[in-house]
Amino acid sequence: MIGRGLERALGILAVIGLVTGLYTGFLYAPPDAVQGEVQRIMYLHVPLILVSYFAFFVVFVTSILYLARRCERHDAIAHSSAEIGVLFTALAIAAGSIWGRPTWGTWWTWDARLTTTTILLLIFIGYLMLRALVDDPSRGATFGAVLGIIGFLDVPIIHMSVVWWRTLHQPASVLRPGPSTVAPDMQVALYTNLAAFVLLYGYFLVKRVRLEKARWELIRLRMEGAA
Amino acid sequence: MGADPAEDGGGGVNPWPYILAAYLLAAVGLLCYLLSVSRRTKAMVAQIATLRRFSKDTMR
Repeated sequence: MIGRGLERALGILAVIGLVTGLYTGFLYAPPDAVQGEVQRIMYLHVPLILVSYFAFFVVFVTSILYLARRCERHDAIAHSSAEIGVLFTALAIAAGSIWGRPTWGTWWTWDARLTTTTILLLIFIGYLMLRALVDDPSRGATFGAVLGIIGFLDVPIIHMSVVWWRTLHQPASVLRPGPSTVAPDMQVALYTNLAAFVLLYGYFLVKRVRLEKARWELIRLRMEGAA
Repeated sequence: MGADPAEDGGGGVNPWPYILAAYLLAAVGLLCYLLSVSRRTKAMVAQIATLRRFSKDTMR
């Protein structure tokens, strides 16, 4: 019952956060001095990609915990978080591509950050395929945990890609040392949307973990039936 | 000549179709995922209930 209450509370808070995020992104924050109105896509793109990094960090931590303790709950969280991370990364790439057309003049370029982010997406699509292909749930969980840990190592590479290579993508403006380069009104919109997407991630995670627990329960019942 | 750079992104392009496309795509993607998780959970719970009923019947 606590799970249901938490799920409902997170859902309500996420909707409130997203509506507030839309208000701050479209009405409160001014248009960018250089990019103009199209910069408003950043209030979607940046929170989506930051929350996807967080989702893959959760996969990393819970995968280590699963390998150490062999607890189903950790695997359920890792598997669920990977699926949500894939969704958020795909949407962040799509939003970035739509922003790139009027700003850079192209939908796509093989820039270091775009390429490493695409590699991250492909690694975790592979993770989900692996989980779907392995019949034995505990073997699938072990293989998934190993891939989840290795896959996460791409996240720091993505973050540092704008420092290590000369890229078209601008340097970090949120996760960076020193003061932010974002104007205060724009920071309000950015952080409101970031909070909203964190809440949405939490809501999706609670819902998806419930599905994962049901899957484990179904497997157990089938094994009992077969025995 | 053309729109103000602050409105059009500096390229003479109307930015609003791009903005709407990005937000609509995200909204559709997130809603579809939510529906998919709800449907899968319902199907899984129904299968669990069927199996439990079946195992009870066979126990009798």
